[in-house]
Amino acid sequence: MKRRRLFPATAAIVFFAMLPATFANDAHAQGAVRFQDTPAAQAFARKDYATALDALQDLLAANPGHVLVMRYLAITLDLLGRVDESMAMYDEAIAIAPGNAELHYHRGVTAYNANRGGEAVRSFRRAGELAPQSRYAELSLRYLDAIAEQYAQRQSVGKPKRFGVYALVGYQHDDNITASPDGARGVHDGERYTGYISFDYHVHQSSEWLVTTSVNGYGSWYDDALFDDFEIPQYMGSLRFQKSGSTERLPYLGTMTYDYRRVERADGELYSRSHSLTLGLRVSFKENTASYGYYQYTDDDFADEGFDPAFSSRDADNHLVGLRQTWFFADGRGDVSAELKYERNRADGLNFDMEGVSGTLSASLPLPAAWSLNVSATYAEEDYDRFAGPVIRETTRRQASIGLSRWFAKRFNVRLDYSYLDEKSSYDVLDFDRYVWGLSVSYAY
Amino acid sequence: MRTDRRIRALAFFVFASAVAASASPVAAQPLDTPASLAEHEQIDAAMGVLDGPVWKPVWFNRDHAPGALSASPFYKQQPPGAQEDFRVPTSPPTPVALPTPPREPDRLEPVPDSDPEPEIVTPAPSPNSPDPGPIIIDDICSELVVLC
Repeated sequence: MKRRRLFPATAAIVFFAMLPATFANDAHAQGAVRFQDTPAAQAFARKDYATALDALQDLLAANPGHVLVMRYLAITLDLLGRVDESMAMYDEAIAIAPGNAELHYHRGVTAYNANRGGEAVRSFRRAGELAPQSRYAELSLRYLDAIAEQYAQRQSVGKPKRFGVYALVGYQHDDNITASPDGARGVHDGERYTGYISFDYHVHQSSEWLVTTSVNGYGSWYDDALFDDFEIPQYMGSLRFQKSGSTERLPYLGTMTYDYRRVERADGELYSRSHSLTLGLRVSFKENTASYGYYQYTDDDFADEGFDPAFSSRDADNHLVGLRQTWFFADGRGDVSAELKYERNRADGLNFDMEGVSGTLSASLPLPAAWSLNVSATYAEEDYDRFAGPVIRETTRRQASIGLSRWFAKRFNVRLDYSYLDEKSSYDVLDFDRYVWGLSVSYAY
Repeated sequence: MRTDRRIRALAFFVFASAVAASASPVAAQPLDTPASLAEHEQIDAAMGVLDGPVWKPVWFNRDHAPGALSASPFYKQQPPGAQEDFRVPTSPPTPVALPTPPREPDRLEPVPDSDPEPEIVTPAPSPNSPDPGPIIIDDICSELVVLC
């Protein structure tokens, strides 16, 4: 009897216990769950990445080889700073679905944020090839553009950190420190040691805006006491607003920068102080090209007024307009640029009222073992039409430079540079030439 | 008795499994796989992972970029003589002997003994007199050789 009563009771328990699971299984049968509705996705959306990671791992265990889950697992690992595991997860997913453009795109993003320029370039290129009309391709183009610009500016590749530090120490041999005319008596050449440090703080950074404040200082020291007057400290403070985006699939970037620069003599006396405002626009009309236009206004105030400020004061309102076209090649590791500048210097002293144009050709060529060769040539003409002298002052300037540079351990950059300057004037006393070669090591964080 | 225990254990196992299954209904469920690229884009946009790059600062005037030190550490360095005076020195004027003006007393206080020169009064032209016509320099020159 007892056993007979036990069976219905047990059956009832089992029935009620199975009921919820049965409904759940009905849901399975009715259709699969959308990824966005999973607890993993919900945790991810509220930026609770630790919870999202656990939930995504469970989700992947329940759906082995699901590349969407693998993608979000990789993204989450990246956001938690586990970059190597993230890249391994992408590679595993790509092995399952090699034609998946979104996997390549997100792998590129992780590589970009981890300062892995080469891997990022390969992934973004693949995403663009697989889905050329997609949003992934459009964004890949913007990333490739940013990487090319960073290579061109000799920056480390990747997203900026909230705080940035750039420090440089260098040695230079300068054969005409005083910029004295050819044949002038006295010693003009010497060894210079330079130091430069810059601190950046990105007040706001997003994929659209970058707002940066920075302060920097520069100093130089000479072996020879003859050049003590040339040991000049410089200080600069800046505020920059940078906006990036794309319109009609044209990536653009605009900036507005205010700079204050103060230059002092070694004894602490003022040499010059300047305020400048720069407005710039960079547009990529075609892949692998960038066009730059900028206007810069500078208010210069020099302490030395010369023999009579009406003639020899260098205080001026300076207007500079520049256009530069750059062509990138070798996945952004190389570039060739042509630049034109027009400058109008409205000086308080007649002798420094000047109008000038200049043209520059420059190139950066990738070399084996991650070295790059940088060459540049500039020709400039300046007319001082109000010059108070027997003839107006006219200056032509030819400048050429060549350098080698390489990044080590993503943070250290080594540069070896040689530059030559030949300045000819309608006044012999203002003719001079100069060559400088130097070695510098910089650290970027 | 042994059978009862078995039945109870089975019931407990089934109950526990069912509770566990109902507690995490989604993890065990099969996931939908987006069929198109547009669906993937929608998911990424909803998750907030479809953004462009965060750029580093771009320097339009490369001379201002950190570490882009020009050959001269001096800001806008000029040759040392550039602020000197380039004006052609004007030669001092040659001294010229100026005519001595008559002494004031001589002019203001005529000596009564001296013979005053008769004052030449140019008669005013008559309103009816003929127009003298333009002054012809040659005519004047013929009379005043010194002037020409």
